[in-house]
Amino acid sequence: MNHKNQWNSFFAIEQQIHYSRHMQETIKLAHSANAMHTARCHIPLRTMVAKQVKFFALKIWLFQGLVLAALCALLFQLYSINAAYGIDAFTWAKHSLPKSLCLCSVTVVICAIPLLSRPTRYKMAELEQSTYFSVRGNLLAQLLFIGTGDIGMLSVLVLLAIRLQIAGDTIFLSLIIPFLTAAASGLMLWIRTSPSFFHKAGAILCGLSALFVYKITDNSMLFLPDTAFYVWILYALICIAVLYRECKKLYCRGIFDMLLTE
Amino acid sequence: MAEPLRKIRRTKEPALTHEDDLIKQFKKGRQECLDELIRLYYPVILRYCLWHMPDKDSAQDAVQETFLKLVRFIGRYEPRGQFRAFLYRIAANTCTDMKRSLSSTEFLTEQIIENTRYEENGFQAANDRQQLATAYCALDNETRELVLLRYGQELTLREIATVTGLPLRTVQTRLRKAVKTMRNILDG
Amino acid sequence: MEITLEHVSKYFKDKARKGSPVKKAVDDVNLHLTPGVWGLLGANGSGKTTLMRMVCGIMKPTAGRICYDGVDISQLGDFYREVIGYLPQEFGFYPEFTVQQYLEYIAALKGIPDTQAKHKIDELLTRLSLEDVRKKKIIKLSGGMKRRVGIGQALLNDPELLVLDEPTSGLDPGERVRFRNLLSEFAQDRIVLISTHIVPDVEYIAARNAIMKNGTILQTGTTQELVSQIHGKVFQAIIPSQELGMWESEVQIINLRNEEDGSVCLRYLGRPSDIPNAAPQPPCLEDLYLYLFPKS
Repeated sequence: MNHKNQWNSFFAIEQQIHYSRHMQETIKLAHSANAMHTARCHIPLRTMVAKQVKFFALKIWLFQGLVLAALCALLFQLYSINAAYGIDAFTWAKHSLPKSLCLCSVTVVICAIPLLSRPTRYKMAELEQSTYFSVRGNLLAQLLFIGTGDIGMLSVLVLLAIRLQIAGDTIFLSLIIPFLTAAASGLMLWIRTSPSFFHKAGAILCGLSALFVYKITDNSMLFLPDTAFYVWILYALICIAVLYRECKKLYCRGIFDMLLTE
Repeated sequence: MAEPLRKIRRTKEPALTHEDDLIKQFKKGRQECLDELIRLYYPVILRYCLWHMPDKDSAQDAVQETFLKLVRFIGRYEPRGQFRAFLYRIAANTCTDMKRSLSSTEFLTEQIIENTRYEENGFQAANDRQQLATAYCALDNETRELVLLRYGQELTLREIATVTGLPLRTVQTRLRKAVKTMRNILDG
Repeated sequence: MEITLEHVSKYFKDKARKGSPVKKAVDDVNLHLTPGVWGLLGANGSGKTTLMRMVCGIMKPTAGRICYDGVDISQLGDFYREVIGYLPQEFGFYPEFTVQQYLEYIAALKGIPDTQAKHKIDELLTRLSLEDVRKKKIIKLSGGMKRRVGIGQALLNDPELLVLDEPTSGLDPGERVRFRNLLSEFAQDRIVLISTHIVPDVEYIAARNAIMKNGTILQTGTTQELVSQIHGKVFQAIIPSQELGMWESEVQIINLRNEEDGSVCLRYLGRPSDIPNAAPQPPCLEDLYLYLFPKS
């Protein structure tokens, strides 16, 4: 591009100034400024997250454990409805068991909401945001503990479902897929909306998205029994990719350097 | 916030790995890396300051101040290929601050061009320069800044967007319009 | 070190009102903060909290910029938050935290290394007279003690800029005096920005004040400079208590005190001729506050 070179030389007016002496002086001053200024040392992110374990991890896992116990009790109850209760009840229970897995998976996601909203509820949010690690560090730590707990809960539910003689693909479609959908959409919303909005809309939206997926899974097996399963595995991978990407976004500084409190 | 993937792939970003290396080494304690960094960027930052300050002396003060601030806040910079935008933002802020503390008169670009005129060889070169100056002065202040950053300082569009705080789209549109305006004036 | 606010504004979408969609919480504020104590005075709703949130970097200005030593704080991010200590107006605690745990938690969030944090927590607990309640749950402490814990967390990282939003609200007079002394001590070589609507709390410790109304800064200056504008407008008079009702509507009363003999001692804003035998008084910051924000 001819005009680029011409224009560049038009702007290069420093070339007619003798600046080497001033440049040397600047270098010298820069060194003495550097010597005077002692940078603050701070702990890396992983150390901060490790410290948070003793504050929050146990409480989070205890809460999740209680929720898990309630869900297991529900599943057992449904399973235990046998013919003695009447043939209608028995059929209903047999039919509801896989569907209730969907409910369980959404509950696993939703029980993260009261945990994540603790800072707002106890009015710690503003103070936490003004610290060095701010929302980024805090949220990542919380998500790590909640995520670990969620995986634990899901594992127990999967094992229980197997024990209750539910088919493997049903478990995948009724437990894993709704969980991933609700988790991915929930996390995307959490990052992009203000806490007050999310508390009102979040739980509903998580639930809705998971139920929506469940409806599709219900019908897809009917129409495309052979290929549908591979589609759902791909979908699951996409959801996991979304979750990873959202967490990575949190990890990189850019977005949360200035966070709005409204 | 997130830009379409297509655009990201199209823009050719300079790697700026050399600068990042220098900074990493400097943070580890190798002082001579700071020397090299300043020697690398002093001329271009001086160029930028000369286009913003009323005279050579205040421009040199501005450059010095910019590098002192850089040293002060170097801890903030994460070596991820964005050194230029980081440095130019500091330079832009410094020039704005220093202009404010000087007298309140507007420094016309024409004056700067007057003050630091090339010793041109031949009538044609001087005439070209004069024409370009007229075309440049026809733009408004904000657009001049964009043109300076793009053609004078050779920053990428993304870097210009970071330095000015404008969205990438706006930078693209305004620059395109500015080039068109300037070419119209230059061609007749 | 210095903090500069240039044409800082913050607009919110006002959903409650139709036709006027924008609410200006902060409007074109310009301030240049240097080391020392700065008082930010204004009534509730004048935009003080919004301004302080922007100074702390947790809210982005709609327009203008805030610079720390000449560099925009949006460019500095966590580097800037490293040097600030903030105590919000409304702050709480997780119910399970003891004082020690709370300070350790905030120290971790502030990125302070272990040994340094431990040393600093011990020092602060002693200075703030919280040694005895170290292991006590914070929610069980009195209001004054909670505030002291709040100030303690703000000082953990040895901040260059200390921002306190209404730090003395809810404290009893004794605690307020103690707080004032504490702050004077800590304000050496730091910028301390205190917002309050309780004027006496900053009157004696603030080197400079900024008065805020409806999102804009009305005036800035030392206490002396600011009160000089109402010089000759503050008076004290003693009146019979029956006349109180009559004078209440005539002059702007700052203070009144019932005397033993049944009369009332009145401190008011007005002209010398308003009440007979009135004596002029040297004005103070509280007088100025009432002059600028008259009670309706």
